[in-house]
Amino acid sequence: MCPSDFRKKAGLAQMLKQGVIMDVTSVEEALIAEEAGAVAVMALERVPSDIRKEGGVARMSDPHMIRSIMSAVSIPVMAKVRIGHTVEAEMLEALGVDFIDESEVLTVADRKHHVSKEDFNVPFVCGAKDLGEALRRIVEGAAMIRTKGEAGTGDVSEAIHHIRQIKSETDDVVANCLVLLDDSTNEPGLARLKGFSEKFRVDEDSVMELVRNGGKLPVVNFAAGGIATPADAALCMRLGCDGVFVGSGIFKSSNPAKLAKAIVEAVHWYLEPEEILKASFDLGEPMRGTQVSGLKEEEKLSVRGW
Amino acid sequence: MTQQDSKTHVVVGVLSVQGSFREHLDHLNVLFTDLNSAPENSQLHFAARTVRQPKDLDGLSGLILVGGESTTMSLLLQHSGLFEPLARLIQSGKIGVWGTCAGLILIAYQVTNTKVDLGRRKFRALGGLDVSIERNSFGRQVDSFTQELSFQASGVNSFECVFIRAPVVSSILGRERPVGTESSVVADLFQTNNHPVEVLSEVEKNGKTLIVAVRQGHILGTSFHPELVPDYRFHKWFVDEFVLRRSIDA
Repeated sequence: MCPSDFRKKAGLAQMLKQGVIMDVTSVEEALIAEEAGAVAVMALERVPSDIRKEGGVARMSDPHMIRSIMSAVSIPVMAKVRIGHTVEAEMLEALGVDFIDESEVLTVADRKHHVSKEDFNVPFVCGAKDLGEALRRIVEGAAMIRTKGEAGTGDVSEAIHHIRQIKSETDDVVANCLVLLDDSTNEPGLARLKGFSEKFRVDEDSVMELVRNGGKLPVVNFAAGGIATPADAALCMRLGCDGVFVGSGIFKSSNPAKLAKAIVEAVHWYLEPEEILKASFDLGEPMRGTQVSGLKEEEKLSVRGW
Repeated sequence: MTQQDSKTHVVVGVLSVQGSFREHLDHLNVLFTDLNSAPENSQLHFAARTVRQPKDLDGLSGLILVGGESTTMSLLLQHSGLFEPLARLIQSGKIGVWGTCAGLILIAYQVTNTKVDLGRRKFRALGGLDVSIERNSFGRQVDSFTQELSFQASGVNSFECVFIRAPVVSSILGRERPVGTESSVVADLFQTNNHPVEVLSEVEKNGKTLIVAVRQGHILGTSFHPELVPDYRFHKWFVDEFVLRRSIDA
């Protein structure tokens, strides 16, 4: 893929920065999201908390539903495909969605391979719970990364864990390979680089690019999974995320329109506690949620994908 | 008094409400490091500033409105109280102004192909450029593209232009002010811009010629994203032509 093709794909993700992307299941919800100031919507039939509750195989959503949302709003529309489901992705590209989420929230289609995303004209966002996973997705062509917090739980702890994990691993890589910027033949440095490349299962140059960029991933990184309140969203921003996805949190609360606006305000003013406080009055009941610590390992979605 | 205090400060603000403001700030910071160490600028000190609140507008010589989602930015600006002081400053002619993509949408007098009613709130544009802007003119993300363009008046040639769900200038407005409709918005006029609108660049797409860069006196508008390429020539031209030359002329 030539750099300019990647630039326009990663560029759309850059335009979403410091924004909120909201899960919506109908035109009505999409309009509420747009009116609240969402930078994009994720069109899907069932929000993660319902997928969790109802079980069964979760697939790409009905194209008719996605298209009706695309014509109802002027902001970008994203939709999800199963991990490794190249044909679902091709269909969404043909439909003209603006971004595809290759998502662990849906049932995995290919237990070995993710979609080869650089073959597509439409940009992809993928989940990552650690740096290796983020780098592998970027090598495959992902134009945006998000954490794999436990979707549908309303518990932000897993997303926070992923943000911190990626950050600490990145710091470790930079600290250990920095010497190579001045001395590209430094043997201990090269040995450590080789170690990271093997651990993360990506080529050495992908690791070095991170070092050259001062520890910044080459694509935008959003928080996702379990964000239920304006404060949750602001916490993710405070930890260095570029923006947030809110799934079940908004439309499973008692006053979605108000909560949606409040989360947009909180992401905008994430450094100002008074503003977050102002936005957080009288929001009604947040989604009830499920504690991640109470989930069995096989009930976790973040273990899907590799 | 330090050496810096005796210099003339040139502060360029970047509207940092949502979108690609970090990218614009990074470009300006690289450029300003070079400009501050150039001998010919010994009497000047350049600095970039994030603009989030009305007080951030004080003392600016230039302002960039960035790429992002114009609906989101418009709503946040209205809610934070920055909207009106910003609109007045842009239209005043006192500082150089540059809008890229969503920023171009916001500084137009008329925006078409847009949502107007957003629940109890409205999409509003800031005004400044006497043009009508059509949103998402090229289509959706799959129609986004990059193209090298040259800008004769600026001396910036072979510049990689990234168009992402880009708007275009669909017409230049005459003396007759348009009125808003169900799918178009007209900005409030605080001050008339007496300069003509000049077309700086056009692209051919699907058999149509589309205007993608214009200037009107102190205001520059581009439908593409110079902040997304590792090349600050366009930012340098904005600072030279719209920020510095104007303050010398004034």
